[in-house]
Amino acid sequence: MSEKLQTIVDQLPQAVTEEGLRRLLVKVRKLYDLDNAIYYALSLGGDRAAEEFGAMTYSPDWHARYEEAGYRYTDPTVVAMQSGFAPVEWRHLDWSGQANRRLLAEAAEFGVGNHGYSIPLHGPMGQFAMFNVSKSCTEREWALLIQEISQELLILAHSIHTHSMSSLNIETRLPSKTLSPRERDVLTLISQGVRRAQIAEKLQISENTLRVYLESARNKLGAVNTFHAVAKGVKAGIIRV
Amino acid sequence: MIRFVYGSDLPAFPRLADSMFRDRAAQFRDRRAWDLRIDENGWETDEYDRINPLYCIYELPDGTHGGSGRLAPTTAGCMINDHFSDILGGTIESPLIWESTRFVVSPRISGGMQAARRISTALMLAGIEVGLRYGLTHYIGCYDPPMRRIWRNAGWPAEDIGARGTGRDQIIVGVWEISEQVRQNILDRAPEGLRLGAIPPIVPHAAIPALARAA
Repeated sequence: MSEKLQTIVDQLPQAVTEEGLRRLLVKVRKLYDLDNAIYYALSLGGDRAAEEFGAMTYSPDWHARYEEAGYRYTDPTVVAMQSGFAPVEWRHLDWSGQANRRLLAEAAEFGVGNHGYSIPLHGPMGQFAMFNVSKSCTEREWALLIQEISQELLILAHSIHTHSMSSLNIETRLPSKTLSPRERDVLTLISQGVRRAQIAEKLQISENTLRVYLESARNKLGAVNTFHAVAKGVKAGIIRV
Repeated sequence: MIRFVYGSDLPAFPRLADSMFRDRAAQFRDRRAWDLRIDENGWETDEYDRINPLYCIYELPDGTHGGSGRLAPTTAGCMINDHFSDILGGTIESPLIWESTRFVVSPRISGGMQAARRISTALMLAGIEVGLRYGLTHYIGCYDPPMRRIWRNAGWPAEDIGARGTGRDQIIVGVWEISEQVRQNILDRAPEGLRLGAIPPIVPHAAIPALARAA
């Protein structure tokens, strides 16, 4: 996983307010060569369903216009995020109809970007958030960029969501804080410098099974890669070197 | 053709949904004798069909179900974490790992083994395509011993993590790697006459453009 992701995730603990999150998104925009990035929780779920939390790199004028026009109720990206869990390309959505065409035209005026990618984030108590990135470029450039960064965006979206929900004390299905015994075993062996093939052999699992345990451990520790997961695991006292 | 349909959008595809859940009953209960609940419509469904999974469906020319797999994120409720954490030694949770269950080819199709292989291969290639598109690393799921051969022959072997039970009643939990290499392996072994067509984007029904919806 890239240094860009590491830079951003390292900065997450400081992003506890909307302004802090906005500064983080500005960094996301810069590092990944995007025009805009937004994380927005439209509902915190449960008895805080009416509360929202989020930040964006759009101009405040565009945000104001978007809310004034009530676009959030018809915006195809919001509609698409409401009921699925797979990321969505804006160009695959239904932009027909007068309101949607006006939304597109005005978004272009405010420099939102003509291509976008949205990642839905859902929690068990009805929590609903989305992470969007967008850019003005050709379709070819966009396809290449997304192909290159889609995995990092998925990790980033979930990291920001998990961090935001936990700093708001929201009861949600956060990744288990504790690693399973198996995950602890594989991380410990990695930290001792044992090669993956040897670990797989020792534990009598396939290398892909090993990679699945490492990936799950990475996610639970909020790390960006295996190396980072080991460092976080050691620091938290979960694994002993 | 391949169609991606979320559980909440199934009412928009009544013929497809009805034939899919009936085919699952015929395949998993009648043929393989899994201990499953069949409802009054003759549908095999479980609790995971009710929490909005994503179905990857091979639709036959007559609009009925030719085969399918059921996908769900491991970061929300899913079968392997709810029921097989003893085998996994805990839970597997990552936005880069999706669960895949109820992989099935319709027992109704004509054309014998070759036709069945074309459908299962198409479903696997669609699964790989989705994984590569989003940057997923693996699928994880459970299956019984006879299913292993289908994936192995197609060039996408499931790698067992562990199993519960013995003989006919054995249930295995395993993983599938998602990579360009795996896609190539499947293509190299693809049966003749496989016409995959474009693998569509995954979009909830309410946000699909009318043109694509009609296709």
